[in-house]
Amino acid sequence: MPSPFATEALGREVPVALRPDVSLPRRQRFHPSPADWRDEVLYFLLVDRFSDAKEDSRPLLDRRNRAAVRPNGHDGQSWRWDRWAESGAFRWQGGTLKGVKSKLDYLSGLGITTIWLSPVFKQRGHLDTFHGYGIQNFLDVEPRFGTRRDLVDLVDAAHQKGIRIILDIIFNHSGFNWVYPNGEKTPRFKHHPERFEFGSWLGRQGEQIGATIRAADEGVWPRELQDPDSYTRAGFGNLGAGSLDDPNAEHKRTDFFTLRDFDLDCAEVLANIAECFKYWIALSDCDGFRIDTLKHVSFENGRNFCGTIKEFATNIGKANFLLVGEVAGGDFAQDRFLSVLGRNLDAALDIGDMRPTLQNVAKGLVPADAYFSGFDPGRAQMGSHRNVGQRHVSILDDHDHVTGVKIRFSAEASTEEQVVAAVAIQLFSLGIPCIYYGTEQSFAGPEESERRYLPGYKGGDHADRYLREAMFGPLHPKRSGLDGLPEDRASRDSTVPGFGPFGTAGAHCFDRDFPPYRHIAALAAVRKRFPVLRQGRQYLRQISNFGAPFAFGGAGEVVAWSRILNDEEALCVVNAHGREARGGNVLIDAGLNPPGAH
Amino acid sequence: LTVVANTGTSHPIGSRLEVRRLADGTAFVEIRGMRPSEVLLLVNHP
Repeated sequence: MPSPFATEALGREVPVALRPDVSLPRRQRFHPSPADWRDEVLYFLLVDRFSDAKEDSRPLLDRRNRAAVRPNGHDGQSWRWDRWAESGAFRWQGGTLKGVKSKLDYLSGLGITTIWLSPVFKQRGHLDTFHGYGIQNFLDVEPRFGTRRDLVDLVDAAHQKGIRIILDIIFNHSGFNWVYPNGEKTPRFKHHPERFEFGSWLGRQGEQIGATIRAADEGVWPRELQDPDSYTRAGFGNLGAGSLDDPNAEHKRTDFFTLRDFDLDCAEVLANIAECFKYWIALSDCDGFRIDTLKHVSFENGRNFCGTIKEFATNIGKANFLLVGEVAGGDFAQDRFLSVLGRNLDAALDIGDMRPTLQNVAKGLVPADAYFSGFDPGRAQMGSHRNVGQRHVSILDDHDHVTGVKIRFSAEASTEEQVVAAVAIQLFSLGIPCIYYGTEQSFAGPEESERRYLPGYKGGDHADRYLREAMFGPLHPKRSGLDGLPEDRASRDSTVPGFGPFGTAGAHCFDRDFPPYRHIAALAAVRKRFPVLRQGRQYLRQISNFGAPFAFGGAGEVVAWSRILNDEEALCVVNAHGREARGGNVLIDAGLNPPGAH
Repeated sequence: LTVVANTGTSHPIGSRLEVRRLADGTAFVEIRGMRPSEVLLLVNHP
């Protein structure tokens, strides 16, 4: 049941100001946190690309006959890959919060216990920021996704099915809500303490409207964020330049392209943004935050923001509200943030080298030790944190691939079984596993023979589009900008195909009979049954073949590791060879397994 | 050890593998015939 706070808030208009419009609750009943996030299996989805709740109106994709769902264009021309690719990079596809709600049984059946939603907050209507990272109103839901009530309903329904919800938040920057003087979008970066003058807020259609915001679609909201001094105004610089320890480093002060950097050192700015996100905790009853671009704020601001969120959540009964940070830059940066922020930050996403390394181990391209040594406190930068398990979220694929080539694991997997093997390593090794939407359907994009027609494939501009297929298979995307805002047939652009899975349009891919879905579901069920698989210590195991001494296997050999908890040992074994059978004698704990035991 | 999960056919779920030992006490189980990318999971207390 939604809280009294949510019921009351939904009965009123969206707040235009934090004060006096928002009065956060105390002593109300909210959904409690899990005791240990290692018990959870996360599922990350892009709201725009997951479901529109209308899959019944479209067929399930027949993977053997994809040509049947590559329709001719409106002008009679045959299917065009450039149009499909354009759709994926630049158009909203039409996924909604109601769509996510309609798939809770699908996700529950897969063994998912927590859904990580891409940002749901209101974007600029004239821009096609379907990813959600360019917020215009920090207190409203993006209308293309639905309403605040839809979000509350989704979280409530999920909780009733034993599924938690994590929201994706951004406190480093706002959307592209204003321009610099003379209409400049990305002027060259100015080092601390220099800054640019403020230019103009942007209006509903992206036009310059000067210094005054008059309407809900103009500038930024709530009102407390409308002071130009709330923004760093340093222009656009190098997102990797400068030291992590320098609070005024270029990578911390720069805009994120056109997304405007907040000046979190300015009095009240951090507190105001934190207040916005506390509002979402109380309103939605969500269970955690994934924090975007955490590397781009100073340690002090990161610690203060996370600390105040943690305290608020704890005070309303969410004693273990998850805060997981996106810290780009690899293990060193992840480790530094976890160390400095301490208990205020629960975990970091493993988006550095561990993600492609996990892929390469599962594909038999590198020895298992390349991945498992990442847990070794004596050998790896992140070992002291990753080793504990609850301080890292393992990733096989995501929407960015900050490190590595921007194609899904499945795109170059030998078989569907190899996808299952990779997820198995996630599920049974230390950490909080996170499955990216579509992995269970082996999303791979178009056939290899067709990929040469795809602009920017494996590199180039907007290459990340190929990580973001629309699982629900729309026939057409929404029209660009404001024309796509109404929720009706007229908002669809019939001149462009939808960005459906496997290079199709008009067929969805929610197939509960697909073998990887069934296998992952079975493995997740076993993980749920045995605490040792979630919280046990971890040891990579040596293997012996044909009487040779026990040794750690090479690339493409059997990968074996044990999890040990109290007197229980679970032995996990994966044949990392993609084409040949494998086996061997696998070492186990002699003390826990007496002679003759079975 | 008892097999509690298997995505292939090498060792059926519910089957048991004997713990074997070398002269120095090293304990191991013998796993054979795993198909490409097959996943196997065994536990000592099912």
